[in-house]
Amino acid sequence: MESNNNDTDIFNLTFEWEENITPEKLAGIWAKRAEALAQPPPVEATGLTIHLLTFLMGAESYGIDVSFVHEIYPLGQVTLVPRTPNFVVGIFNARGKLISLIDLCSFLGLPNIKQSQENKIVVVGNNHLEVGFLVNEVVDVAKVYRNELASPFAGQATAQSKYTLGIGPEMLIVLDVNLLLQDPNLIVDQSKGNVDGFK
Amino acid sequence: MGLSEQIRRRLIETFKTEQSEHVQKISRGLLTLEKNPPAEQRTQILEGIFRDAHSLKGAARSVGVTAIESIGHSLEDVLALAKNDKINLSGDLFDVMHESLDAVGLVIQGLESGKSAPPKQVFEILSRLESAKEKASQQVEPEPDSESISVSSEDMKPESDADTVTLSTDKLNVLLKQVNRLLENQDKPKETISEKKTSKPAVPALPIQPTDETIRVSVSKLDDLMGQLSELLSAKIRSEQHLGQIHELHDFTLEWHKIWSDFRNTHEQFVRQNKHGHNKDVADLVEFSTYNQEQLRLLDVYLNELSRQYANDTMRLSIILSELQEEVKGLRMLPLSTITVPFERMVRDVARSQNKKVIFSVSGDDTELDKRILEQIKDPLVHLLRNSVAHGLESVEERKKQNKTEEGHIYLSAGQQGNSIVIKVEDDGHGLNLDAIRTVAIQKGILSEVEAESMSDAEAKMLIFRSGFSTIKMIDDISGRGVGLDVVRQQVENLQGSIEVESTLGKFASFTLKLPLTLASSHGLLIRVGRQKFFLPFSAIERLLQVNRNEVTTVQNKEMIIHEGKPLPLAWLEDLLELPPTSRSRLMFSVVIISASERYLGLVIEELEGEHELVVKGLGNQLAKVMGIAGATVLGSGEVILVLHAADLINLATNVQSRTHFIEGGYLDRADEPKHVLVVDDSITTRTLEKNILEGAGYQVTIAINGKEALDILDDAPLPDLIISDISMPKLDGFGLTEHIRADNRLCDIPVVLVTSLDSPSDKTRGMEVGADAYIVKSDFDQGNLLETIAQLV
Repeated sequence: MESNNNDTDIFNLTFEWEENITPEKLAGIWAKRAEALAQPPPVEATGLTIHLLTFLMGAESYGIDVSFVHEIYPLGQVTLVPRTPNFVVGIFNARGKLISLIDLCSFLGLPNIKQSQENKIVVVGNNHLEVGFLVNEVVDVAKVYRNELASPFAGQATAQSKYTLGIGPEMLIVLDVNLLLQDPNLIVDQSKGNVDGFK
Repeated sequence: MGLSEQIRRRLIETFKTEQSEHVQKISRGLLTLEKNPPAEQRTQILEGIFRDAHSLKGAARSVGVTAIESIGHSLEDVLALAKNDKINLSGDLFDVMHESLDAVGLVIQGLESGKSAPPKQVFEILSRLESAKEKASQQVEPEPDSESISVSSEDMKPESDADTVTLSTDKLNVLLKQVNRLLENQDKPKETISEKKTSKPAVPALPIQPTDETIRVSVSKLDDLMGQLSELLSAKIRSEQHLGQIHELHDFTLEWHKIWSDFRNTHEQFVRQNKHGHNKDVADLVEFSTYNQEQLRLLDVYLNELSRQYANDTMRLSIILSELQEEVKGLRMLPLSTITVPFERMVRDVARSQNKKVIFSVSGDDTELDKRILEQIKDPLVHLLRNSVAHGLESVEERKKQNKTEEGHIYLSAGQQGNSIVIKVEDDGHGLNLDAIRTVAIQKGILSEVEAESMSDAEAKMLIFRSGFSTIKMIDDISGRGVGLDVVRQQVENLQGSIEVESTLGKFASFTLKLPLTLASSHGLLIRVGRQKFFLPFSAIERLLQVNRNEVTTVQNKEMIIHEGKPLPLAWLEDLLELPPTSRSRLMFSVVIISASERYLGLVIEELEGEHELVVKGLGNQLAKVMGIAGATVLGSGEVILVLHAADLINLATNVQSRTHFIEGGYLDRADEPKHVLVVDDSITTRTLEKNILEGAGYQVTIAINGKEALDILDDAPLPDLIISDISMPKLDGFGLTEHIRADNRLCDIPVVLVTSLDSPSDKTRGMEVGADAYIVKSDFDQGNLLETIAQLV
């Protein structure tokens, strides 16, 4: 068992159990297992780094690539837009420019974010879309190594995991903002024929 | 050649501007491609320039410049191959493509100097393009695993910054001058008004070229400019508010002065008494007081001067700003002729293909419109004109039979009417056959026969704009209209405009498009529903009404009023927009009649908040289209207000059911006289509150201040329909009053509602014992609660 991917190997080893297992064979398994466990951690803190803006949404902390972050505003006046899906909080005036405010939690199928005076708006954008994310608190700017990120929620294909690049230190959920911004479901277009799309 | 030389020259002129745009884009795209961009970007650029080559070809064909058409065609071929990875874009191929763009320039030069034959180079370049294409495509082996990136259609949006407006330098100069004046105003705030009057304009007039020199500026830059300007406007409003604060400050010192003058005698006495300085402390105090007096006087002088200057500067600022706003708005405006010139050719071609003779005349094409409106109005106009030629005008023989001139006439006219631009397309063909339209509508199941019979002519002609009607071939043969008119209507309404049709059978048909002057700024009303304000442009408003709830009737479960002899459907704005319901227990309602393309709706709103001129913006890319909302705008206070979309609201009103009907859920029986309520309460506040709520809901109210007085009132007929009484009152309390009422044969059927400030179970029980019908606690006393309770009892 020379593979680096020790997780699966240990798992596989457990399948070598048999009904009448001899002590020798068992010892062999233990040895193999110990060897597998003794492998140095596969992740070395090198390689590509990502600079993240970290923030809290609900009880969880999230990080997004700072290069997509345009601005951060305190939560001020937001105008509700009728007949829009739940995840659209409204629109707000960012120095003369109108930007939609999105409840990302709601979009990802999590409970809505509680609104309070402390909320912040993180304006993110790529070439074709600029939106504001409603967050509970902006925490910090952090640097993580790309290969430090653990793959998320194996086997679960939730809306959240679809956009998760990986899990960083201290359960930091690193989101792929660029991918998120390309999700057609984020766009509200009730032109003819689409009217009932969100009801 | 049927076209006169003059028209041809104008066409070429338009084509020249258009082709240079395409050529520039293609050349820019080719340059980027040569740098080997990442695959995704490469595909995007290829898509873009492929489209441009295609448009170039199309434009050239429409003006009959075959040389450029061929070049465009060959380019398109090469690019199509490249797109599908069937060809390697080598350096040689790039050379040839660039040279082909140069050849386009040569052809244009040739046209300008009046040569009709294309230059030799064109043929050479065409053959080189062909051979390069063949050579390059041979080199490529079809690789099954080639790194072709599949690109979803979202990634292929056209470049958004591509559109530009051509500005004349005159306009830019005027703008520049105004910006300078603004700067000047900023630099010298202390300058007094007298100096300003004598000083000549500080900026020397820039030399203006007699020729119409132009600069191309992207529309997005103009939008930015407009955005910045609206921010400047809000700064101006804040500055005006500061002026008020300075005035307040000044009033404050005046008050101070008054107190001082009362004190002055005492002060002067002190000064006299302490001339010789017997007491050091008193002398100091007197000195300080004298100093204070002097400072106060100075403060007053300064404040006076400051407020005067500030007022002058603010006024100046606001004058310049409004001029500047007009200018910036004007920058986006282009004459209608920018799109109408090719129409002449198109009308001619359609007429020839149908063997008809047409005289096409255009008037008012110097009318200026917002560039964005111009772009989007082109297709609807083309559609209307084609319809007029193909289906509106009769054949030559038919016209002769009808004693009409052999040539049909089509008029395109445009002009400004108030805040709108009106464009009319009229023909003297056979007009609309309303009977035929009705028949087809019945055949297609759009109408029942009964409906069709009761339908007015005005309504019948609007049928041609209905979707589903357009596909009917029959109507073309019979009445000659109805091809894609629903699409035309939709496009016009998307621009916040409307379309109307007028016609006399056998004589004429005319389509009138009413469009807003500009999409950038709009004049209208601020209205409020619940806690949210909305903006409704005047272009969509027909009238404002106050409607009494008694005027409302229902027809097929839809609420209507009769307005000017016609039924007008009503809808609550909050129902259409799915907002929380507001109180509907009022007697009078504010109704705004909105219209779009001759369809009307009475929009019930809570309150009008006044008139405004606002800069309207889109909701951004994320909210591409929200039903009922046309855009948003930022008020001076920074508040974001949504702009309503009249046509959407009218569409929604036909689908959305009102949550509370005036009649079903209302609190009054409309057929009867107003119900009479006797209110008994010793507190004037409660009395007044109850009286207002009840009268607002249409009840007639009598007041008594205690149980004793209530009984006196009840002695005289007529009797009230209901009594509302407080419990604790002097002389006779609510329980006593109820007991009396229940004991009196004449009064015992009148419902009694007891209202109290205490939620006491023993009071409640006592109330039931004496025979009260309902019991309301003041703490949960609100309009709805009170009115609902009453409605259940009367």
